[in-house]
Amino acid sequence: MPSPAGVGGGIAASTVRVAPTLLKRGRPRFADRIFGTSVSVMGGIVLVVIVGMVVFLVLEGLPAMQHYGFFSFITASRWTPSTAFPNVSHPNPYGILQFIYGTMLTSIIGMIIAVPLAVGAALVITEVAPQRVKGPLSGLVDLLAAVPSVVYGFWGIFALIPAIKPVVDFLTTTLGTVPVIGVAFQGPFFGVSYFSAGLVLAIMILPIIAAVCREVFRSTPRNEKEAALALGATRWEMIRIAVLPRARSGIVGASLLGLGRALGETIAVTMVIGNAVLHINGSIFSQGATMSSVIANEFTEATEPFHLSALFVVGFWLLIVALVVNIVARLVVHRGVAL
Amino acid sequence: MTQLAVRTPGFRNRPALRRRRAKSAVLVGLLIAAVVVAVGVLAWVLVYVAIQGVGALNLGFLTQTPPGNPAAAGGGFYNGIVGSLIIVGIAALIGIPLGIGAAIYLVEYGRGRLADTIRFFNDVLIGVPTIVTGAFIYAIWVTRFGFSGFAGSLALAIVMLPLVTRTTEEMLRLVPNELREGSLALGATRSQTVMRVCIPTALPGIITGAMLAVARAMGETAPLLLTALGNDLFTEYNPAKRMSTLSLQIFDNAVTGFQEGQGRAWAGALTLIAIVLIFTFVARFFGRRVRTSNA
Amino acid sequence: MPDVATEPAPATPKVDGTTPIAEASVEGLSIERLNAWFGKHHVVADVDLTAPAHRVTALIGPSGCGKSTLLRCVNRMHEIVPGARVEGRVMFGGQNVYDPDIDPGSVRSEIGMVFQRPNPFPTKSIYENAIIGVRLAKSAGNRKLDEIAESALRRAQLWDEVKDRLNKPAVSLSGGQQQRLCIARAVAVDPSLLLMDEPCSALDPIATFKIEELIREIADQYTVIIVTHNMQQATRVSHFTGFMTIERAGEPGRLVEFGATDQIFGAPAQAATEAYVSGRVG
Repeated sequence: MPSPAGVGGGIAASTVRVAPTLLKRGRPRFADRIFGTSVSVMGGIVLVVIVGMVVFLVLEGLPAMQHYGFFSFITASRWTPSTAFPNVSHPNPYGILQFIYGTMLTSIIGMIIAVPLAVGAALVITEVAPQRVKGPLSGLVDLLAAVPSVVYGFWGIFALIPAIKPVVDFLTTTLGTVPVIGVAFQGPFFGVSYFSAGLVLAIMILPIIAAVCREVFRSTPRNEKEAALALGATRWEMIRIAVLPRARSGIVGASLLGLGRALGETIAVTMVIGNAVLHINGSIFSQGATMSSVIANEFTEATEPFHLSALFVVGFWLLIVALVVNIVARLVVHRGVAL
Repeated sequence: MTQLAVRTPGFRNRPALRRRRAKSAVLVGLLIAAVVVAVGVLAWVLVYVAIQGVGALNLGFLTQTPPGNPAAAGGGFYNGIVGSLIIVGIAALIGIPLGIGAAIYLVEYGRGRLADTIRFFNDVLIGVPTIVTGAFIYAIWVTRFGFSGFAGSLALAIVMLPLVTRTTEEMLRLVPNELREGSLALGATRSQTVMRVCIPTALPGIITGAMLAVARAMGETAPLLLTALGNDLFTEYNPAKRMSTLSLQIFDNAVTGFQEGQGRAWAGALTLIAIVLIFTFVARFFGRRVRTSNA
Repeated sequence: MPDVATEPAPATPKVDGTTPIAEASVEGLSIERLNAWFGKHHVVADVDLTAPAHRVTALIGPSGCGKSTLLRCVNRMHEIVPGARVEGRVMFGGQNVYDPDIDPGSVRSEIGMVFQRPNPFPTKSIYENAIIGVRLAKSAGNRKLDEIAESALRRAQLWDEVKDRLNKPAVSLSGGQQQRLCIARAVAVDPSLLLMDEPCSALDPIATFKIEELIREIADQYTVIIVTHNMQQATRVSHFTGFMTIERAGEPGRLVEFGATDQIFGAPAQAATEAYVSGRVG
């Protein structure tokens, strides 16, 4: 029993109780009601903020949307702010398709690299590593998430890109010459590119995917793992029969969470993608831009007519995509771990 | 029912078993390679930044502002460090109490669909791109009051809030119900129970969560681009004006063409990583001690 | 008391610490001076036991006396827990299971185990669960798998109930059916020894009855060791019984007496055995 000294002056000496009542009903005091209301308001802030974001981004983007028309942003193919004039509304100089493309491409490249690595790392941490190594190893993988994105970007420019240049140059001369698919792998490679951004994103989203996968794998019932072992399964076979099949939806959820993070990452991407905003570039080794990178890059210098408003349109779509992916990811994860 | 043939069991390694064991060894080896890659990249980043930054990192760096001419050597990121401390400090003053309050609501007061919805969207808010958060604050604050350190704090507070709520909620749920019931049985009100029993019991874990959120906020750059804007010229102590942060300064200097500017950026990166890692380790160490003492 | 086969049972050694252990026949099991630890905690001490081939041997005793641990030492499942340790020999088929040359995986694939709580693999169908051991060992081609599945499910007395829904998920079965599926899974690989760790304790009486019936049916084809806390069950299914107990709290479990089930329950030689089976203790 907690000492009464810890509970304020609420012990009413005049009321004698025969038996302790657990959840005392009755007229709560004024301060208590204020407290209850305050924390409820604080709880609601989250919803207010999310709704507010959607609303205000639309409001700021409205001028451009009204001037050029809602769909023209997706149908126009170039982003050329310098050709914007206040009285001209067609064609829309603020086509955002290449930013959507850039966001998707870099995120997909990031996922292709990060998901297998993260699943592998999580499996090692839960099923392979000796007991004493599990904790530190897990902490190290989590530490990848602590590094600030500007540091990743900086390191990406000066350490990662020079390191991958020989490999990419090789790929452009080999894969780049293959008919049909070669278009996606063509040079020249200037270092900054979709691919480089995808690589950096992979490193940044790996810890999130690994952390969720770790929880999913850890929730495998011991009973089933022992069933596999008792049948004579090797360690890999045990993982394959008892751990992975149950973890399917959890891994999907973890990957979606990683995707959500990749979609929104700005600074590291801006630093290594090259910020070529004009139009879509076909090769993954060419420069490009993403929805978040163009906002970061052009926001403070958006002096053209409707430029800033168009950036808010980009921001609005980025928010919608991120919300949808995160909502789906959370739903999948919640169902997966509860399995 | 069929009669089974009786066999003599043999444990000698049959070829099939050898193949299975070899396959398992190879595949587990691949898994281990994955974790080696992950940890290796972490080491690469940390070591690279350390090597690049340690040369330019000195007391002068921490106490001086950048030279007027970006190509000149010397100077430091004092204004950025000060800005980071002020902006993140204000953000923490806003975001941490609000986050704890929201967690109190979710654990102690919230019931049913509304609480579930709030909890769900709290997790969703964690995934909102921080550049969008910056754009939001720009739209509601900067357009009215101009760029300022305080606007940056608002944006960072939104980044910190859901993180603090999540960890605080976990910690409050660990508080045994018997403590709450004991307090209520003594006649304490709900608010007294929360503030005098639950929060103090969960406090170490709450502090851990708050510190991790602060570490995260220190590393943010994107939302500040649109709110605090940055100030490379002199040290600004007034949060009503535009300010620089360590992260912004690193960003600005990293992409210049000037060797000296980049050198300062590396020193800045090393400083920033050091701060973030120290916060992270202290927070985790704190959290681990809590868990073992509560076990 | 189950029917003993027409040939006379091999001489059953009574273990009271002084009688030497008789040679086990090739499919029987002989445990020699087995000790087991969890880290520093000594849980099983100096067990000598011979489980005769083609018979059901029950291990009884109060909770915590180490009977499940002893069972898990036989197929080298004890050691998968970090810090767990075994000393002694387990002779099976003329070989010591703990011989350093021998791969634990191969031991486990020759010995079947059924666990206390049914543990079919939830993402797999009934059919897949039944044959998964065979698939792992790659010891049969695809056509044979169907035959093996049917044979194993029949032995587990489950075939008639599932033959029309072999592709349904294993978790769609009731608890008792799941446990019989686990038994089918264990016997599908044709092991010579079957270990059962309180297989009925999570089941209702009807499911228990079905499984006891099953055990009596397959008794003459397998060597079975069954751990049970239910003494009536031991009398219903086993030919031989070993009684384990701990003398004082903190002591490891020891095998106090071993003999024909009739004798253990009817005329136990040790006082501790008598106290337990008469219900006065434990």
